[in-house]
Amino acid sequence: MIEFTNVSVGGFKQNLSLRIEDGRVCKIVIGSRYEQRMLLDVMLGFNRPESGSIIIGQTDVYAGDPMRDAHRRAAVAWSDGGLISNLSVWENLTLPLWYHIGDARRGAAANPDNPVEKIAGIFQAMDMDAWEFFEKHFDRLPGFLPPHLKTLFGIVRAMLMEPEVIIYDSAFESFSPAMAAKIVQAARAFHSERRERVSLYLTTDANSAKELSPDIVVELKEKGFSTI
Amino acid sequence: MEPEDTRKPHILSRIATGLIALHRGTYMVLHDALVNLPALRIGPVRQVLYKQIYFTGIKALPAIALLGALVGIIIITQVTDIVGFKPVLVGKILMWTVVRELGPLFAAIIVIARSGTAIASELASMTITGETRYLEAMGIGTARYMVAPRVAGVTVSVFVLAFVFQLAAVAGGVIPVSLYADVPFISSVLNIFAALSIMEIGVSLIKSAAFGLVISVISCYNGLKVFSSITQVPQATTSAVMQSLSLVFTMDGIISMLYFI
Repeated sequence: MIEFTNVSVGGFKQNLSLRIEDGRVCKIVIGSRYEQRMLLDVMLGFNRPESGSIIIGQTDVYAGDPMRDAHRRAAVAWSDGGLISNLSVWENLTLPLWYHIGDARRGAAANPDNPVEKIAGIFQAMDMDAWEFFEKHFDRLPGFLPPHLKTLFGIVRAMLMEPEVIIYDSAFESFSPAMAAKIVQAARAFHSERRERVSLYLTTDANSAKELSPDIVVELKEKGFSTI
Repeated sequence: MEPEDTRKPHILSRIATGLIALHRGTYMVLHDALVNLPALRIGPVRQVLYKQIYFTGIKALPAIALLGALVGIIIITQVTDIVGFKPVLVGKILMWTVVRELGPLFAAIIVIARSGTAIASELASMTITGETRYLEAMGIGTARYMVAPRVAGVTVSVFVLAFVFQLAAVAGGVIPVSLYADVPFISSVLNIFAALSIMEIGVSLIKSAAFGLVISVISCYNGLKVFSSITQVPQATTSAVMQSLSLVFTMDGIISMLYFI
């Protein structure tokens, strides 16, 4: 679940309220990239709102230290991939799994002892050959990859974290229509793996990610969220 | 005559503000690094530590060994030229200069030039490109993942490099003496080590570790304090080098005065 209750952020928006129930796919159309960044920052715990509360998953983001256990609340597929430049693609994909290995042992994330199987499954859902990616790209640094592959690996990494809430930050917009369709198909499949999972697509383009078939489409306007 | 612009702070006030910010910032980085040292048991953090030791320590070994040997030869040659060939005195001077001062100092300067700059520019680039934000969104704290392993790696590396420099310098000094002055190698080595006390070795090692800590903390602080512009990367690197050099020499002076005077 994602819930904004009377959230006000300085210089941005006042009294934002929105509730996205468990199991929903939601698209939020935002006026500008700047506002999209602000909204994402507020949701992820980077920018404390002046008033109101934000609940992601089961936790109030700003009730304690907002950066504590951020990975348990949501995973983000960033528009530029969000890969770490000094790690290979493989290290990037498995970094959150290895880092939070304690979570995995409690069954809260993919098994880091064998992420290959899970990664192959995600590529299969995208109708792509995982082994081709393994051979060609997995030991390369992100700097050598074209932008759309960075975004693709960012999406795979977010899915590997098996989050309750997955946020796509304009993540399907750097792909060709054919490739975007495959990725959206995988995103739908990933969404339905867990009944309570929330998939949230943030974009400035009202026409993007239509194939995601969102249950709710919301526009962020001057006066707040309004359902389209 | 134009009225004086009272809004612009006085240069002394700016220097004082800068020093306070540096002091506070480095203290916070040091605190974060020490508090997060237990995170080194986490796989990816340990990997960063190993990479840091590899790049700072292992890759600098040939350069530091060569430099050490050359310094040893230079010292022996100059001292012999000034005081004549007196094995005990020459050995003592070699030991005092190399173990007390040059070992830790040269290791620190090499690490500042190679790794201090690399750490500051890498962290600054990662901050500017938003990578620290991506890490934090994955629940990976920058202090745990980026600072603690780098501080530990650089400290260990300077410690080891200083020791290697000292060994190479002694070897570099002893070998020519043995070859050309017809003094048995073992006897030369014994002469040299006779001039050393455990305390001196201890102080030298503590100095090396302290230099490593200072270099890594200052480099991390300068790397992470950048905000948004790519032009801040070279500025951060330059600041890291200058501040590290100043602090290393200041600390060297203070430690030497406390112990040797």
